[in-house]
Amino acid sequence: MTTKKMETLLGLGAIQTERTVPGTQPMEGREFCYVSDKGQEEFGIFFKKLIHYISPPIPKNGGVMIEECKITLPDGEVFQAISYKGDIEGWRLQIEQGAKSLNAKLARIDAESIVLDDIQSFRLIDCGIDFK
Amino acid sequence: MPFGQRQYEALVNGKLVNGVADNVVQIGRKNTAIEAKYVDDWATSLRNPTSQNGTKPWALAEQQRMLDQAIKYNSAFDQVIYHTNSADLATHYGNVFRNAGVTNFEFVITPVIK
Repeated sequence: MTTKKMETLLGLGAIQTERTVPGTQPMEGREFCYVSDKGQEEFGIFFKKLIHYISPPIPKNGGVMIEECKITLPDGEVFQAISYKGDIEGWRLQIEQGAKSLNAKLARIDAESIVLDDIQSFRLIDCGIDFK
Repeated sequence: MPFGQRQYEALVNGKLVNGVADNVVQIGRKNTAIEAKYVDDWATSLRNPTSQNGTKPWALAEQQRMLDQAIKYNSAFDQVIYHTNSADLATHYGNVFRNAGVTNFEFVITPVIK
């Protein structure tokens, strides 16, 4: 079945045919952030540790997922994309506090750049981008 | 199409529960999980509570698994598409999901041609 036929059948909008860097296009009700990946353990294991670190959880509802997109900065530092929905403010705090406790850096996408700690930023075009 | 796996954590009744969705794609700028739910024969399916074995413990467990997954997906994903060959399954679980407060799903029914 072609993508067009499937879009018509589902009636839910355009089906993405090429992946884009999470955070470069707004998604209603969902926020993106990037977490440093020091490669000391599988990112999925670190993700679970990060999300569970603050207990009881701050957010009241919703969920968070790994976006399977890895950005490698020009200096070799690696960041992994995650996104969350529901209690956005609560999830942001949950992740910020967990990251602080685990000494992980956070970054966000601003237009065509990845911004670390609101100070350092790198153009995406100068970074390595890997989708899984 | 760029389908992929996604590991997620969802809040259900105030507790974090985790999972992995096997087929996720962006549709209409929404992170969409796609699940296949096929049954050979709805009349005898364990997923059908009115089937002969539908109230056995293992059948109830399977029916609960369907609902638990829908609740988790409702929290973590923007929408869920259930692809099934059974209009009866779609009708039954559509009602079960709605009664449980799950709202972000669609059933797509493709009958099997024998």
